[in-house]
Amino acid sequence: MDSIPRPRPCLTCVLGALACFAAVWASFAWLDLPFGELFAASALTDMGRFVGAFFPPDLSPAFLAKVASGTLETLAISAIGTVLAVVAAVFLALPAAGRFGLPARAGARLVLNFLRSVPELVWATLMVLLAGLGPFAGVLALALHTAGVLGRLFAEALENSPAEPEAALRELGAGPVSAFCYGVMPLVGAQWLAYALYRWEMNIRMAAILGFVGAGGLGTILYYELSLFHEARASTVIIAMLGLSVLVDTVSALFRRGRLAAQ
Amino acid sequence: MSFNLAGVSVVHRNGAVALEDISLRAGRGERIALIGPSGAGKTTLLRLLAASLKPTRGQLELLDTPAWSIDARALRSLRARIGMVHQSSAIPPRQRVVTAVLAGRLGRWPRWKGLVSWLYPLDPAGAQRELARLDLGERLFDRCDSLSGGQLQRVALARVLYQQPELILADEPVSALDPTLAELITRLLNEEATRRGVGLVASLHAVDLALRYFPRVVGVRAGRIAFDCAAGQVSEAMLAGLYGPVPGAAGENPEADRSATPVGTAVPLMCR
Amino acid sequence: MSVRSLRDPAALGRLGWSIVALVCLWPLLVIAQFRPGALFEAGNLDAMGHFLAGFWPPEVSGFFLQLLWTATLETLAMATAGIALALLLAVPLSLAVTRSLSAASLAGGRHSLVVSAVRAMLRLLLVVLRGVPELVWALVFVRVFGLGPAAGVLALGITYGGMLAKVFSEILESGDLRPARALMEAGSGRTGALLYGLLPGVSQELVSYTVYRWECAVRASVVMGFVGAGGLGQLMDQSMKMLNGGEAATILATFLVLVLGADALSAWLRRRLA
Repeated sequence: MDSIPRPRPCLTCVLGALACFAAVWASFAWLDLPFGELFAASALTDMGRFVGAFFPPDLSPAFLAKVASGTLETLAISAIGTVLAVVAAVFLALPAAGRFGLPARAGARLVLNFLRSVPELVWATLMVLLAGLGPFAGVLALALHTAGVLGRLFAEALENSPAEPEAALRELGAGPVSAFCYGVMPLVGAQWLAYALYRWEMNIRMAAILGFVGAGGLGTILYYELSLFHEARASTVIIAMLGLSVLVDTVSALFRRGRLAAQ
Repeated sequence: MSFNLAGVSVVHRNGAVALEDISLRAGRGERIALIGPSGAGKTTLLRLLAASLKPTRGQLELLDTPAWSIDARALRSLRARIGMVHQSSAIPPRQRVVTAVLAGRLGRWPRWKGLVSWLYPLDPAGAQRELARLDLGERLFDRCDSLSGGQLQRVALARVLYQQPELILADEPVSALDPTLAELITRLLNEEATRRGVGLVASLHAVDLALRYFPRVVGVRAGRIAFDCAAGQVSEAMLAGLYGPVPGAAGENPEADRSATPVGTAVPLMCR
Repeated sequence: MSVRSLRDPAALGRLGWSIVALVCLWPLLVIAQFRPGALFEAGNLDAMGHFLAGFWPPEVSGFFLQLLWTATLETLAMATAGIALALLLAVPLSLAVTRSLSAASLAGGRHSLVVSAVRAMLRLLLVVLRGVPELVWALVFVRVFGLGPAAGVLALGITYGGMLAKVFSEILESGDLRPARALMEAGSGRTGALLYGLLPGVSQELVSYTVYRWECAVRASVVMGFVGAGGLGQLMDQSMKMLNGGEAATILATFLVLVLGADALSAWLRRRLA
């Protein structure tokens, strides 16, 4: 039997798998989840009653109008937040791509990492303090987080684009701003736009829940109705969120397919 | 005078000597071909003439202006008077032909005009005129990535012509093209320079094109000028000496050529 | 060339789109109550100033750090348990939903109407699972299970289960099915064919995507606490409500470390897998 080479067991795979199982087991043990009671018969009837309260959704015209305006507000928050983020990201990406020297590059990267690492919802709680309750706080929160994400992506696109076109324009006496517009924007513009649209898509979903901390949009209505135990109304809002999410998914898929077809 | 270099040397930051004690002058309207092996210093010489590289030592005058003893503003307007034909990679693929050509005058236009023209071409007729001369008039509003390599090279040429420079430089303008196109571009460059009465300096790999189209040919080797002759005076022996192995240097490695301190080459300075 | 041909053909479109953008921007700004002036109103600046002034020094007392440590572990555990639950949900769902893996497709037969209908229903279920944001699920579950991480874990499990199932099914769909078909033709069972024929080709992508989702789950569980589902967010929420800047600063710093750490770990793992 010695002649048949046995496959060497992949040590890292085994250790990795063991580590994963250990982590999952430790997590459940640490959290001490009451799942046992959860699925007991009494709990199940409770849950059934709870779920039942969500149906049928409240479809009265007055409430529908409120949800519609909440949806519009959500869209507005995401759109304005993304536009602000794009502007800020451009101004941060230029130094972050090393265009103003190494110290500026390190500084800009630090700012971008900070902006990006603080979740939108945390920014929202801070912005509610600064700008008061309402959609404007949501706009600022989305803009801050998204500026961090987009700034990094924009800077990467800048660093990866060839330098010759801009250098050629500087050589014929163009100023820095013109050389950037004519020599760099055509190289990175389309990619920047694609990144921005992608983030807008994510921001629409995010804007729907920023209201949980008072930053406007559909989330505000949901949080309010749920805390008053108006489950039927809450379910209308959840359906609106679901609809918004599906709509965004579909439009973006169509858009992507269109772009692919165009290329 | 087009330019005047007196005792110019360029030493790179890592200590490698790119050009050593170059003296070269050209009158208005002179057309010069630069030939020589890769890494000999042709590109460095052209960058000196484009005022984009500062010499380490020596005197450099471009269009009767001492290029590096003037302020930034004056340097920009000097650069606007010198046009460099780049390889086609200097044109962004997603840009439209009209924008790429109009960019030639960014150095002359005030900033607002440059920015407006970026969004809405302000002088399509001017761009059209230069493109039509190069047989590309129909492609004015097409995107550059829909053009072939030869057409793109002509767009780069149209940009420089639209710039209306007083000195045209070209760094290997035809090295990426097939022989027919290479000849066409070389001819067009010379015709336009002659028609406008402006100076032309082009580096070329193709020696036959250099000898056929340019009245004056300068051979560069290992950072020095090997010869500087009228095209008719260039002999087979001079070319053999120019492209032959460098004494003491290993093979044809351009890096070795560049880093080796240039010593007096075997070919003596002739003609001038 | 005529004068007409010199007119920029793109100009009208550019002008039109710019006008459309501007016309849309105005009502959007109004709806979003965009008023930068609010940032500089004395009252708001004061409140923020006080709060920010409290940021220094950050709270580092032993008792608070103990709380913070527990909350951090809870956040990580929530993300991990959530992903485990999501996988439990996603694996069977993705197998059921993927058309090319059905017995009929593999054997080259016709699709039965019932099976197709069930598949469509399951797809719809996936849309609902992942279409509702995890924080909404958490908010709802907190009403059932009370405050604490259970709601967060379930919410993550449901939303991420839907997302994983969808992406898994896309990956399986794009995988090379010929080896699996060959095995089926050679008489192997469907499970065996999938395990030996399809999985080796796509496993790397599946694992890589799961790791990426774990990273997202860490980010998500950081904020779960804002709706009462445990973890760091809950601590942050309390500190914010008491306007305790020092605590907020320490928690914020922990957020940064956690998010950047998860980012780096996930990037490292995915690079090793690639």
